[in-house]
Amino acid sequence: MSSIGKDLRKVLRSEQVLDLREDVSAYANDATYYIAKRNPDVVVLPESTEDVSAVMKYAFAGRIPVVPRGAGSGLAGGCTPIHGGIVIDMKRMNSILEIDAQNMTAHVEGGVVLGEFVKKVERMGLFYPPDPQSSQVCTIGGNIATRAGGPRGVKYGTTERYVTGVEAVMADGTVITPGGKVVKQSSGYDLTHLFTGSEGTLCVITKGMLRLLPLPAAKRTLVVTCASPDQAAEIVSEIIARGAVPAMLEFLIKMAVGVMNNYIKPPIPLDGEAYLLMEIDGTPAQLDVETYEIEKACTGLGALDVRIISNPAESATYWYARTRLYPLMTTVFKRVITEDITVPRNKIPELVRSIQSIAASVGVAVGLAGHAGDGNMHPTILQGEISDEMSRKADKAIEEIIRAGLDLQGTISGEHGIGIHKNRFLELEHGADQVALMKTIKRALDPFNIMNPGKIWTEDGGAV
Amino acid sequence: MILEDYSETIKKCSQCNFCQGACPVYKAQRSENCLARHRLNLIREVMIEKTMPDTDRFREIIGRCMLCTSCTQNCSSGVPIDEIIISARAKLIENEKGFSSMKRGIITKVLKEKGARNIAVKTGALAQKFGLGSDVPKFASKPFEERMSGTVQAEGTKKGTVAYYYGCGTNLIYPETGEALVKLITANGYDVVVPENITCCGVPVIAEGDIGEAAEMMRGNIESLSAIECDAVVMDCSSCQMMFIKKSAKLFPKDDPIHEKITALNGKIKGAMSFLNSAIQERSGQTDGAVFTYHVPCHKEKFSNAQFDVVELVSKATGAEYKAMDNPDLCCGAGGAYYMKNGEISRKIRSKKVDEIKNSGAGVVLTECPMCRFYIKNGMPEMNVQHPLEYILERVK
Repeated sequence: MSSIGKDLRKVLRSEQVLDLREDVSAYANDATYYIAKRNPDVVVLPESTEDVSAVMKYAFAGRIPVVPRGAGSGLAGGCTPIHGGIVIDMKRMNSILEIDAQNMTAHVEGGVVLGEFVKKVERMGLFYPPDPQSSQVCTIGGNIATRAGGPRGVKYGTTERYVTGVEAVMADGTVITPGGKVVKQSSGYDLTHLFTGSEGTLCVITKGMLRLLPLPAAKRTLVVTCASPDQAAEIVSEIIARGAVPAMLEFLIKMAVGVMNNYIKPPIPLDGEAYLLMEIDGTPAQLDVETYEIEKACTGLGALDVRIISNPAESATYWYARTRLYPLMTTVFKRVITEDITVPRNKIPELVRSIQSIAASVGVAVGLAGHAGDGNMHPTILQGEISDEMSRKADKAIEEIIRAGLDLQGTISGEHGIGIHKNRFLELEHGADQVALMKTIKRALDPFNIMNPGKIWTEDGGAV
Repeated sequence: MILEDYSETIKKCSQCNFCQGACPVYKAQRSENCLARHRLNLIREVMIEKTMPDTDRFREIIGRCMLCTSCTQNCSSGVPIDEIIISARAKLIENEKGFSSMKRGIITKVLKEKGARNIAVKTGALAQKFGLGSDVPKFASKPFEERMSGTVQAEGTKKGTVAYYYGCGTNLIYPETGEALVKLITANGYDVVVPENITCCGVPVIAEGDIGEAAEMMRGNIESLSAIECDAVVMDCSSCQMMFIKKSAKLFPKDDPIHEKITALNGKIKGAMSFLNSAIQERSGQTDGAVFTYHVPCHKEKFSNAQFDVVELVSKATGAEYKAMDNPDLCCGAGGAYYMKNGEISRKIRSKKVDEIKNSGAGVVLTECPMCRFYIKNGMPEMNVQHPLEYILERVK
């Protein structure tokens, strides 16, 4: 029994504290096990804000690193305990405290599973759009901490647009509740949105106040078969330029559709090189107008096929398959590294061309998929074999893709966060002054650097 | 099903952690040490790569999986998680002697030696095996095998012949399920052959890691069933059916001649519900306000509409109204005999199921699995819990 574990058993029930190697190793990594893996010394399973606060007070006094954790399904190593210490697993704090249909708000604990929350609000005729495609497991606290996005970004934006307040436990255990239920607020600094996307480096998010929308009356799925990735990218730009705003607009290369066909019934014929998968939502009349505009954009640019899926059960198989794209790709490749580059939407064709030429010059396979509608691409470095040479090539390709994206006025992460996966690139995007300011804020809130240390930026400012 | 066979497929785990969405034990505990991902990582480290020692805690964590197969069915990376856990358990018991191997011996004997066993011995042995007297299903005064055997003739014009593989649950606990099955299928024009030389399908035995014993049981079953001339082999239990269709071939070496028979037999195996569904063409039931809900056993194919064949059949045959619970395919907590060793976890899982059943407003819960049936009833004694075939028979009489 570790001494930290022994101490924490005085603060929490014994059953809420794990410190055997066979238990804590469950918390050594997120989905990016290949970047880093390290066992925490102790894992705690708090059941209330008081529990979290008590653990933070203990960690603050002992200067022990703390890593808050949602579902551990992240793609940037954000919750990987690279310095050991205490992992705070938030998943037992999973109560939906209130769904206020009149004000269209919801108040939830951080460990609430997104999919369960969505099911509940939709039954009430309400809508919570952000869906980072892991809603079966991901937690709302984790979504807030990473500013999670997903395919609906194109029309509805990402998590930060729906967070109006949080309850946060600070490094010293103080509990604060910035923001609130109001639609607008112009008093003081906006701490809510400082914490949104802070990746556990400033506080532990124990509760969230969320904004809801009315559930759209109808929706429709469209599948566009394209002759090439270039053509698919041009069509995306054209759709946006025509003013059509799909709720989801996904870009998929043939390989991605091939593995998704495991779930799609009936399967999508593989006679194109790239595909666009779209959902439009709104009133039935709006759907007809948008369908017309999209079809015009597609046929005008020579798409091979446009299919409208009117059967809801069938279209559900498409979107279910999309949520499983990442694990599905690992059935074909030994390692799949997902990038998260995001550019202004009219730059998508240029980005797609750059990525293809980088893949060719570096000599790696790069899968193109992403939420093209909002400019967010997920180029995936596909590795059939694992070797040092392959890793070097992958790193090179990633760096070049990131530089290409930044040259197009982009960002290195649209929705996954930085974690440890991209921390060496942070200065490249934000510049030294801006990163220095972020560090100043961090020091003010977390003087002993115990909150998820080593994330978002590197201590030396970045290796590139 | 040898651990070495899975040394490559185990690496297919993408660490996505989506197994959280499926695992009933995790949902009760909400701690990641219960997850499939973690069990796979531990098996790799302790048993394959040997970078971690084999400890009691490791064995406890591997032992705490219910083998409900929910994670396997949910896994997009296609890792056969349940089989990897079974094969790990098999390896862990290889050199194990003493009390636990004796317990395994007793359960195997009880399940295997049908006919010759006296009920009292069976009950006593089972209770001993699990170290408790209460919470064990009560055995029927007369097992199914003593109630029916040989060929039962079709009523009216004969359309064909089916063989009926009845599981241990039907034989020992709920023989009325078997009687209902035979009545309903003969009433629909099929001769039903009730074979004598069959034994347990092996599900309870592989759960303990005893693959050799399961293979021996399965070999006997396959030989007996293959010898019967019939159009279909029907089963009333989703676990038996899973064992035959998905696992039986994996119990034997690749060059074993049994595989030919397995393939031929698997082509004929049908769930009794889906068999009757195609046999019964028209809606025959009366609408009289009866409301049922349906609990999907874990070993039924999840995440597909096929799991609701029972709902379709019962609605069609009886006219009763279906009211779904929130999560029909959420585990009830039984996990075969899992609940006997892991009472606290199982009760936590069950309490959610019981709430959902109550909220559905149904007057009866239908489920095929005898252990789900027993365990749900045990958690809500006031509720009527039945096998769908019995419910149908009662209402069409």
